[in-house]
Parts: sequence; structure tokens; C-alpha cells
Amino acid sequence: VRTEPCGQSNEDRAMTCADCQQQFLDAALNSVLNEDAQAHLTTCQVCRTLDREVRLNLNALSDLRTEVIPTRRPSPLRWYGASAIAAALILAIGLSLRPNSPPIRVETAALPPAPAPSPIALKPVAPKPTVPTSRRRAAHRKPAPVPVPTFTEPVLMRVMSDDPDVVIYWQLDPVPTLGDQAL
Amino acid sequence: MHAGDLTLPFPHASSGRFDELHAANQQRVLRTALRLLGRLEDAQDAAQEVFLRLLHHLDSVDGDAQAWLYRVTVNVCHDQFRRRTVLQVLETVPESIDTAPLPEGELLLDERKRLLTAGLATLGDRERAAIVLRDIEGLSTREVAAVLEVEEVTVRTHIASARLKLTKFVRRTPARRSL
Repeated sequence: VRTEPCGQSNEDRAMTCADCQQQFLDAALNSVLNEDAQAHLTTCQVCRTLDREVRLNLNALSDLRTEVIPTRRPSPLRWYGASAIAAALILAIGLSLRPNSPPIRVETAALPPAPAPSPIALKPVAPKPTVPTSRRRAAHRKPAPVPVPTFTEPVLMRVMSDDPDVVIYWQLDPVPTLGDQAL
Repeated sequence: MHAGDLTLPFPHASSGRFDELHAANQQRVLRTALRLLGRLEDAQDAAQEVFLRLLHHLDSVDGDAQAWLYRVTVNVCHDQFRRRTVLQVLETVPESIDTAPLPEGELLLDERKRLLTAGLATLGDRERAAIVLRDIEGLSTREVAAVLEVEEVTVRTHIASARLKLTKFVRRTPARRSL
């Protein structure tokens, strides 16, 4: 920064560059410099350029005042944490409000020993074996209606194979009626 | 126990005055802190600290609450700034600023603002506080002197020095676009 009086056209000017710069470096954006400073600026290119730059900077700085600074927001990680906690709470509440349905048990029961095949023996209705859960849904499917021959007495079927030592007996129980279900 | 025995963690948490002051000065405090610290997260931390202090000292803050908030903001930011081990480059553009193309005049202004914001990091603490309060926040020299608790002539010295340094910084820093 020049501190000596500058310019050739106005030799009786007393204001130095330092005096002039002190004015516009301390002035407000829209303030008017005094006559001496203005006269100095008309003849001093260095101070005129600096004055213009300072005013442009002041204008830009004052424009920063209008910017809206974002306030703090929860970070995405906080959202994930909150979501996880909420999901856990919902799950816990849902489980606690669940109706008292019997627990699912998988039982394995040995089938009663097959009675000796006898064409005249009446086989009682065997207890329904417990089906594993995964198969239970399939068991509940309603099969397509198939015409079933009805009979009231147990029927013993004998299936002969090619091997004379192998004979397959197949006992068919009668279709249960209301009276049979009581058994 | 009755309802009157229930107290909130902060004695003034239910005070409407705090809410009013917070709403009226939140952006002012955030903006000042951002220009003094340069990083948005630090500025948000500082603003939170400032309003916590306001909450605790609400009864003693009478008269010009805005000056009180500026003073506390400057002090909190100075404390934060000293704690930093490495001076990082100031954030230039807040996240909220629209980055869509602007007219040519706006582009020049935007670039100058970016350079000036970066240049604030090169100033001393007192110079930076003075120019932020006066040239960005628009306070008068007297008000800046009251906030910084220094003489007005000292503020003028800081302002002149800071403006000159910023002008030189803008000159020698290569701009993204022609100024």
C-alpha cells in the first residue's frame, strides 16, 4: 500500500494514500467519503481500485446475512436407531397382547401296534396322529371331492403280488357316522 | 405431591421468553457461529451451547438480549476455536444454498462470497469477530465494541485490517470464475 501522495495532476493535494484508505477501509458500505478522499480517488488508480474492491467485498459480506443456515437435524444413524427401537417396541407390545393361544407342540405318538389282520376283527378308530406344524397347513387343505364308496363294515383287502411269499393286507375302516365319532 | 411440585430440569424451560428469544435469534447466532468457526456442525454445537447458557441465565439477561447473545456466541466460538488442533478450511457454502445456475451477476457475487468466507479463516480471532459482527451482521462500531468489550478505536483498527487482508486474499486466490 502506497503511503506517499500520488498522482501528477493535482500537485497541491495533501491527502496521502494511507489517509484515503483509512477512510474507506473503516467506512460503512454506503457511506460517502469526504471531498479530499474523493479528490484523491480521482487521481490515484491504486486507491480507486482498492476502494472498488473493498466495496464489492462489503456488498458480498452483507449479502451473507440473508443466508439461512440449516439447523441441526437428527443424523440418519439416529433415525435408524430410533426406527430399530420403535420396531422392537412394536414387536414386544404385539407379543404381549397376543391372545392366549395354545403353544404349538409337536408330538410324536407311536401308532398302536397293528392288530393282526383278521377279516372279522373290528378295528377301533385309531387316534389321529399329530402332524408336524409344517404339514398341518397342507393337511387342512380341502381335497377335491372324490366319490367314495360307502360301507358300514370294515373291509379287508388282500393284495397278492408276484412273489407268493408276499401278501399285502389292507384294512379299510367304514366311514364314521355320528355314533362312531363318539367312540 | 401436587402438580406444583413438579419441576422441569431447567427452571425456565416453560418460559415463553426463552422460546421467543430462541426463535428470534436462532439464525443470527447460527450465522455468526458459522462465520466465526467455519464448519456447520461446530456452529450448531456452539449455537446449542449459547442457548443453553441463555436458558441458565435468562433472569440475568435483561435489556439488550441480542448483544448478550452476540457476546456469548463470540466467547463460545473463541473457546471452540482454541480447542481445535488443526485449522480447517472454512466451509464455503451452507447445505441449504441452492446450487442451481444463477444469472451472471449472481455468479460473480456468489464466487466472491465463497472467497470471502474462506478468507475469514486467515484472520485473527478479534479481527474475524469484528468483521463478522459489523460487515456481515450489520452492527455499528459502537455495538461491536460493546459486544467485544473493547474501545471503538480498536474495533476500527480491526475492521480496517481485516478488510485489507480479505481484499488481498481475494486478489491472490484463484477464483473458480472470473471476478
